Amino acid sequence: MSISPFIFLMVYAVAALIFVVLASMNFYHVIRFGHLRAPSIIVSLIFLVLTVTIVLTTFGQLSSVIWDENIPLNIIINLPFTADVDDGF
Amino acid sequence: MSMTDFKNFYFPGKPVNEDVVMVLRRHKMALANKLFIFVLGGLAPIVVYTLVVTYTVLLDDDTSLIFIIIVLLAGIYYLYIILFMYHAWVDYYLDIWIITEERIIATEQKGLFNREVSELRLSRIQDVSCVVKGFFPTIFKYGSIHVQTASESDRFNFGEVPNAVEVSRKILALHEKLVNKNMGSTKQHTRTE
Repeated sequence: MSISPFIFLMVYAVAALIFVVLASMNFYHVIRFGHLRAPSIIVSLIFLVLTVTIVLTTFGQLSSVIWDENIPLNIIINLPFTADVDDGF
Repeated sequence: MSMTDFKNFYFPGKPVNEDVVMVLRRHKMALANKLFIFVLGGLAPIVVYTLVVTYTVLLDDDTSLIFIIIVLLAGIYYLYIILFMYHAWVDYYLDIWIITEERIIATEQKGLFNREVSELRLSRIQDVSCVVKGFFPTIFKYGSIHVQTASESDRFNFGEVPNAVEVSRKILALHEKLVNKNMGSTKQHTRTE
């Protein structure tokens, strides 16, 4: 039995979309009521930079993944350390 | 709170002849407390990751399904951690009390879709009280201010105000000054009649 990692990428995309909506609402409030003063610009920029860093790091870690290639599920079940425990019993 | 000169402070609907006396935000410690919880939440997965990498071979293969799931989950987790931190800051930054010579304008951001702006005439104040309660509020001198008005049953509250005692005294002083000014102008008006 195998599964495409693309499914998990889709779940990530949905969560990321909700993140974008909520972040946009916060930006709206800052621009509308915070009047784009220095503190609001600086904090918003820090937030943006951190967001980009996290997204880039995430996909940097997953650079070797071939998203449309199915991965067998038994790779979770047959992990070496779980196998060791089973052998012990 | 900083007792600097706010005479040039502008807010929407400010009349030209109305001077701003104080602009209050919550104490920075109140924000720091919230952010600290998120920082702890951010550190927890790093500790778990270190333990997993050290003691298991779960994440050795960077093309395995478990690796993909964990990296994607961690990515989302950290995105939401910084989103909540940013929201805590927005909440802190947009909650503001503007005290002028005639009124108090309180603006509070409650969540993403709820913003309350209320206004109170200083002449209608009946009672001002402040509460400094807890370890951090006592150490860093911040607390809640409650303003009771003559006509409204519910109180006007503002939490985690720096120098709460000093601010409540200042509000009462402004109230008395305004009442005396109004009484003076009424007497003068009666004499001219």
